[in-house]
Amino acid sequence: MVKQSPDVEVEPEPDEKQHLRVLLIKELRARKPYEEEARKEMEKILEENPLIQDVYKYFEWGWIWWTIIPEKSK
Amino acid sequence: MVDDNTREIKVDIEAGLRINTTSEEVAIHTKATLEQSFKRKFAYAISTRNFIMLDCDDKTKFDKFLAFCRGLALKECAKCIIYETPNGYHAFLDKFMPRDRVRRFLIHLRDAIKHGKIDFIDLAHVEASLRRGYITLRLNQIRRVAIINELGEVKLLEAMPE
Repeated sequence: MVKQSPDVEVEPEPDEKQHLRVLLIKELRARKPYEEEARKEMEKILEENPLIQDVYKYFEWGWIWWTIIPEKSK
Repeated sequence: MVDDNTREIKVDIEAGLRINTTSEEVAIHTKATLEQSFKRKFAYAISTRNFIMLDCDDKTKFDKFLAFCRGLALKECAKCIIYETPNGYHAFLDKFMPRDRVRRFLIHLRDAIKHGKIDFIDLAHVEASLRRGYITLRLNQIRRVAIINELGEVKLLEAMPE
């Protein structure tokens, strides 16, 4: 009798593989625009925000840093 | 108890969920991930332990705020810049200071507000800065409105409210 290892990797069947691939692509596609939005917002801040323009040199020494906080509820 | 859990998360977010990082890349990724996880908007802000940054929460008190910032610029012999925000004004004193000095300034400021000597700076912002050990300012929709130089000379950049 062959003893089965509990941590043996199970190779998915070809159609299951395809299904997982589709799921993964879907998740990545869903995620990308979200990060793109945050990236564009950051680019806008770096280009246009006067406070950032005035303090940006101090980021280099760690005297000023980024903080992510919840937006104020309206 | 789903309701309790939901409430707890909401309280956590409102009360103090904040991520600090010196990296722009981490900030971008963190904001996106938080927004995706909590299904609500987050904002970029900046924080410091080594500079004086002030928050005036009353648009009608610009003159008082300007006079205070001018006094600060003269005393510290440093440039001070004032920005208009949707709800009031921010000020940044362009002078590096040791943490203890910034902390002592905040303690004096808090006491002055509590004793009614100053009524135009947000007490909650000063108290939160003391509690956390650093000052944070939000970045949304701001524009420069005044620059005060080391000699206390004021340059207004736009028409001020009456």
